[in-house]
Amino acid sequence: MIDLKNKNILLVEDFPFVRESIRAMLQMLEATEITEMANGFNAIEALERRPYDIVLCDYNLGKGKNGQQVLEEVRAKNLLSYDAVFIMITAEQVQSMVLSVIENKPDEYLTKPFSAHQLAVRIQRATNKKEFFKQIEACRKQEQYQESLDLCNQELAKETVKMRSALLKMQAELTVALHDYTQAEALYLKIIEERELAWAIEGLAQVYILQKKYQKASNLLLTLIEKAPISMGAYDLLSQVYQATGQDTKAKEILKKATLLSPLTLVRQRKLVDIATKTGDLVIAEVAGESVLELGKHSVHRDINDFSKLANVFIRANKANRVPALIKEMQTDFSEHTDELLLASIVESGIYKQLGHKDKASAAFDNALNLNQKHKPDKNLQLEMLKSCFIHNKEKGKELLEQLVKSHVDDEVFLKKIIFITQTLGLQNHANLLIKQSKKALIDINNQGVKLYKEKKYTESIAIFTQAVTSMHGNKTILYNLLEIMFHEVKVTGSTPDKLQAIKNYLDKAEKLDFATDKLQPLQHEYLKLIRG
Amino acid sequence: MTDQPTITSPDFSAILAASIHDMKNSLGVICGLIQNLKQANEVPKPELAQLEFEARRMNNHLMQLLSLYKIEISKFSLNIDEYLIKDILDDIYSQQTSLLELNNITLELEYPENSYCYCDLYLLENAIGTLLNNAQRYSQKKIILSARAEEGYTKFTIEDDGNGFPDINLSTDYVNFNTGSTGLGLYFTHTIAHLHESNIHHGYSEISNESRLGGGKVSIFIP
Repeated sequence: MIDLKNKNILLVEDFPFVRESIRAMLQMLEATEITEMANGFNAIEALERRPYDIVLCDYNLGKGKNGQQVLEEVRAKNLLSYDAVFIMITAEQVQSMVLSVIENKPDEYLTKPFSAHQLAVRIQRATNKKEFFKQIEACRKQEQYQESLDLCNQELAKETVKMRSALLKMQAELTVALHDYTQAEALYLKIIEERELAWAIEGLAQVYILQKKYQKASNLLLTLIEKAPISMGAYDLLSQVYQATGQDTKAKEILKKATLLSPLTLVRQRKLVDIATKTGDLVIAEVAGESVLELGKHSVHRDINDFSKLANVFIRANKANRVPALIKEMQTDFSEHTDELLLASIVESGIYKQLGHKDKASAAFDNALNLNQKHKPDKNLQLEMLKSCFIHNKEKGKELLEQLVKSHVDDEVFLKKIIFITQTLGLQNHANLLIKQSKKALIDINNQGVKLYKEKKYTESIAIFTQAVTSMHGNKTILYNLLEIMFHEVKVTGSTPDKLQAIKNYLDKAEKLDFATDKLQPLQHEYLKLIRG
Repeated sequence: MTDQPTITSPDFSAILAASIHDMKNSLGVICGLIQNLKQANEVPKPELAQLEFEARRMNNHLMQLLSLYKIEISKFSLNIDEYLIKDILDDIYSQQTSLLELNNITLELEYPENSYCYCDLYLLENAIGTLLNNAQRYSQKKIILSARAEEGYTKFTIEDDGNGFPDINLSTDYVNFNTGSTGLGLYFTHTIAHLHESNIHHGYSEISNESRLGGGKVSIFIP
């Protein structure tokens, strides 16, 4: 039987009594490193802290995240290595059958009640599979699809083929990833010829969609749905086909059918909200919109825009009276930290603007602007603020635009995002000019500061950079140079508590700005050396 | 248009399905309590074993009932994939170990290495599990679970060393609802086998008293 010694195991189960009995089973299997958590939230925290080899997670976890939401978050945030095993424990077999149609699948299911022997067999089976696919998955993860495919082909060429079905699936998927659609089509057809497996038919349909052979794809998918009505992937692909061919109403109908069969998938419900809103089916949009909010409560896919989408549905359906309660719900849901409060205020102002409540809209906007000024949130959140400014107060928008450009003038990726936003507003020339000016200003200040430094006029050099740090808040080049010069100055003229404090403050700021570790760490080491004398 | 939901009276099968859920919850509690009692006693009483056996049996039946109901109302279709036969039998064996120990019965597995079979793993394991539970009830010491390929099917066979099936089971079409007699397990097995289909055949099951061990024999043919 499998030996679990030295395997890091995370056990997630809300009932202490059940948890205890599973722990006893694990110990019977020689497990030594067992971490126990009683809810999904703590499970995620544990997974963020350190890597685990095996996760045993109950589906029903009481209040908060359920097991499926834990799994989704694990996959979305990449919290488990590709050779780690996730086993979902369900209350009954039917439940695991229902769950097995959802997109994110665990490596194994285990139905209560189970024995230590059963547990061992499932862990062994899942571990064997992970072990078998270790290299293939490693290559795939690094997008070395050809290498991964070669490994698959090697295994499939052996006299006795292990894991045949999984290998064939992987082989076809990798061929798709390599854009070799003709070959992928042939592979799927060969599998289907032997047995009409749902995953192979869905795979083939996807290849047809990629080749824009929509008629072929929809024929396949419709037949599959008729034969096997729980092939959820088929519904999603079919709605994709319908949307690609401009048949929005059909796309909506098929998604509606899918959400009735499998109502727990947030992403599909969200798609239904969008397409139902687009086709003007406000009744469906509302039902799906409510589901999205409910499902989002503990989900990694939670998105505040779902509130404004539903508000939009309410407004269009002459149910504006429902909006205030919705806003209140949003404020409760998004109140954990300043970033969430800011985001909630931005969305709130947008909703009131749509409603035509000018006073409330500008009050919420002022609140957002205030929070933004005070807390200087993450740059992407500031972009949201920028968009909001251009809706509510163009002058404030121009101010913020200037600030953002100055702060991030050395961040090309971010500048592109700014340009993208200003393009839609016809302000891209203005933005481009700002960028040009700021780049020049940065170079000027930098040159000036460095020149003073070279002339050993440290105090003056530091003064120039300090001022620039304030005026170009968030600019990493300036902050980095300032810190370098401050360190040098301390070395030359000796340290004082004031100087050390100032360095510490700027180091904290650098950390907040997400300095690259290879830049930040040497500075932090130098600081430690200084304070230790 | 109003926001009031329309209330339709649920049909009887929906009520039945809800009751099954409820009964299953109770059985879950009973199974848990039996485990506790077993741990509390150094030498478990034979009545406990019997109790556990009956509880499991009810649980298995309810699960199958629920699965079949869901298939009936098209909430489900089979989830077919290819599985290693050895894996299927190992899994079934692991589900049976504690009961086998209690009943003092050995279960022998016979299977070809590296052979695969297309099936819905959960349904098939459930069906074979039910048959094994039944076999344990009637056998003395030994049961054989074997699997092999046969003319386009994978044939799973359970043979026991009990007294064999009474004639009535062999002659009627598996289940006689009028006499309220056994045979329900066999009916489920047949239904689950039949739900499996290839491009050519449907699955089926067969019962006889031709066990190599002298008792009853049930075979499931999965295409």
